[in-house]
Amino acid sequence: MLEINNLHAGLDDGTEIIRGLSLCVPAGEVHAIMGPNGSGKSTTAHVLAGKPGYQLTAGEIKLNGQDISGLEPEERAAAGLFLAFQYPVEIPGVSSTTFLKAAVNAVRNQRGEEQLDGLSFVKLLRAKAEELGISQDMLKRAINVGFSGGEKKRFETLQMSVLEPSFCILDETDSGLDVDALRTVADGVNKLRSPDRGFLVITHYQRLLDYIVPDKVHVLRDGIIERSGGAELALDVEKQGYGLYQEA
Amino acid sequence: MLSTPNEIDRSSAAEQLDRLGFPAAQSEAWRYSRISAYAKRDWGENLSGSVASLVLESAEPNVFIHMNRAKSQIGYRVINQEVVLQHNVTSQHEHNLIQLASGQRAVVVESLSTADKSVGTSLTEVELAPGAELIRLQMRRHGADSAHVNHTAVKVAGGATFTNIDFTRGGGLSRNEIQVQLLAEQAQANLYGTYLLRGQEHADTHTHIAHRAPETYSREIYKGVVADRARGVFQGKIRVDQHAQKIEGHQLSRGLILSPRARIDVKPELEIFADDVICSHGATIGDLDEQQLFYLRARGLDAQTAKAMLVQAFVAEIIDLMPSEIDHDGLLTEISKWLTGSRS
Repeated sequence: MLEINNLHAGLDDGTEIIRGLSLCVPAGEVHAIMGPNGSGKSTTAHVLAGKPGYQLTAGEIKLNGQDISGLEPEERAAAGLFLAFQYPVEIPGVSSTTFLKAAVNAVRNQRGEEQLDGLSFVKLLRAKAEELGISQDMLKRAINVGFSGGEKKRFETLQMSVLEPSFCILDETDSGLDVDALRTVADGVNKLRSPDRGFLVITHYQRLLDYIVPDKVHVLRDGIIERSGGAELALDVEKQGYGLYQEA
Repeated sequence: MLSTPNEIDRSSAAEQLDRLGFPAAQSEAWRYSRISAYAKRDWGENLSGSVASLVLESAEPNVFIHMNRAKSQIGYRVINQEVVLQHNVTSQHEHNLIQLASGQRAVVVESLSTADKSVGTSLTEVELAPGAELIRLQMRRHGADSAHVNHTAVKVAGGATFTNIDFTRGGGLSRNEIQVQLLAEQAQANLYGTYLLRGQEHADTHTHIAHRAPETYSREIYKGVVADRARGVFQGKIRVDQHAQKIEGHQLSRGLILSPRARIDVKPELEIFADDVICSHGATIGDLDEQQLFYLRARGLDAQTAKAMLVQAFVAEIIDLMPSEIDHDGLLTEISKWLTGSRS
């Protein structure tokens, strides 16, 4: 479960972007945050994941009851948080498999679990990759280097799958994807939905929510949640545009 | 086909050494490296034993070549043989000779590990007959506040290939000079290197490639990582003679700076007298990519491990160029260990 209480946050230079955001996503639920450009969607994702360069000035972020707002990004990952990046970063020279193994063992280590040896890891990775339709060839390449937009997002999903987080944030996962790629990625995400895992899906467009159907939708504007409702709210926004709420 | 080595003239070398003295601080070749700070150290006695040498000419007066000739002992000899040689440097001043006959291939791995505060030189002379191939690795680990000057002079005949890969850590002042002459068509030189420096360490790479014949090729890739207050220097010269048409020479120097007080100086120099050539040089210097670091950390890797992974990735290109005789994974582990010991 993710609880955000009266969160105020912004850039290191003092610019406030999130102005009192409160949100509760119980385990097993999928919530969506929608909002126009500049409403603070990506900042929310970055602040939750602990990206350097952002500052939390008030409020708290609790993951499964633990306040994670002062933790390093890697400690948040170990606590069970996962951020699927809007623009997954290319890292030449580091093979995807090497990276995944290091990440899995780093997280297991922090959680006090036993390290996976090479063989057990390869078995795990093969099985998960197959489920998501990811080729062995892709895993041999450097992280995200030469990956298509769809491949990058599928690789994010694979990371989510092997790291087994209890809460996932999807930051504009639909950006840069055509409908087919979007469907594939959404299928992957849906496979990972479970009663003990929560999701926060951040998106500008309703389209993604046709494929990953949320339990609740929140509309973000100027760093604060302006309105919340069921999945139908997304359709409303799509039909009326964000302008409706500006005037309301 | 191979030249006949001559005895080093010890007394003449000793005279030159006295006459030239230590390089002055303002000399162009030493402008980034304060070798004069080491002038008062014990550079050892002049020796009298006989050492066979090719006496390859140097492009500029080089006191450390004379010093080596006056004081050196024989390190290794690879003459007219196909070998994979592992050599550990043991003497303060060492002279090495490699001569490969037509079509021969050799791999030489030189391991140098100097003591803290030590000073010394190495001189390696290489002659490659047509179609020969030499791959030479310099694994250099220098002690704190030590100075070492390494000079390599190479003659490459037509169709022969000289590949040098340098992996350097540490040293108060470690200098690696490589001079290559590409003497006939299809002669090729590949100079690769990486250096990892921290604390007050200083490493200086000087390369000079002379394209003396048409259709000769050179490629240089150097990658340096500097932390704390360390300093790296790369000076690379490519000279192309007037008749040396249709040559290709490429030089790339990349630096990764891990702390604000670390520094890298790069000075590329092209001296081209031919008009139909392809030559390039490039230099990039930067710090670790914050986006990449965050991406790795968001997946659970701690900051130190994430940095190590990125440094490894930066250097991996050079490691990948090493022949299969070398333990690549071992080197990557060493890089990771090196980074853990850094204060930055």
